[in-house]
Amino acid sequence: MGRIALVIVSHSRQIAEGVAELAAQMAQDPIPLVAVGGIADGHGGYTLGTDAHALVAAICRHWQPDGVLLLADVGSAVISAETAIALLPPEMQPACLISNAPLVEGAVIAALEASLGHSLGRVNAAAEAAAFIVKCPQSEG
Amino acid sequence: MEQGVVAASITLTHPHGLHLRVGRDVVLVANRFSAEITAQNLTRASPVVDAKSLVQLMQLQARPGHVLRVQAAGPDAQDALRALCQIFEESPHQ
Repeated sequence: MGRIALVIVSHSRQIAEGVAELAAQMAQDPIPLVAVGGIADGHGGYTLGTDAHALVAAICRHWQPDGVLLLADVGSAVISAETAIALLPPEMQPACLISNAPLVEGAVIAALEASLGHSLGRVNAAAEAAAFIVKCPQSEG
Repeated sequence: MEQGVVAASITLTHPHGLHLRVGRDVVLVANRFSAEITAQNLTRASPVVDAKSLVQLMQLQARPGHVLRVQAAGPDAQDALRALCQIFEESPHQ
């Protein structure tokens, strides 16, 4: 069964790792899932920000020919993801997709869908549909 | 009810209703069967949703005490419904 990889991208290392931890719980079997967040400060820690080169390394390390779905938080995380894809070997680029999904809900749903062996497009469609989930009911039944 | 279609009503007893872990289990189990499987929150008179989709299950906004109607249609519908009912029977202990 084909399987895609998920890359969680955040300005915060803790957010990326926390989202990855939550998402991993949703998969029926372990899936290729990596958290990339923050910028190494050279002293063993991380500051807030995103690092396209770290993303490139993560994508290459967890590469899946069936596709790689990147889920990002806001703003420059998407720009870093775009830069990372552009830095990949040309033959890898078409299999990478940046999701428009909300980070947490999207990752949770994507992990479940990916563990079912669904295609990159199908996983991303499910993740992006999370943007329309109404969290708070308007009225009690 | 049509032949090959089975359904059950399930009252959610877990304090968190249809919480994430149970939702996950429903989707994973439902996807093992070829039957068309749907769910509806009768308490909210929600739309009927595809039980093989977590996004759609979330639309049920199912809370403790809500009654869900789960329906399966197809050759393995009986097995599917039985497996799904078992999830809810076990969920209060998760």
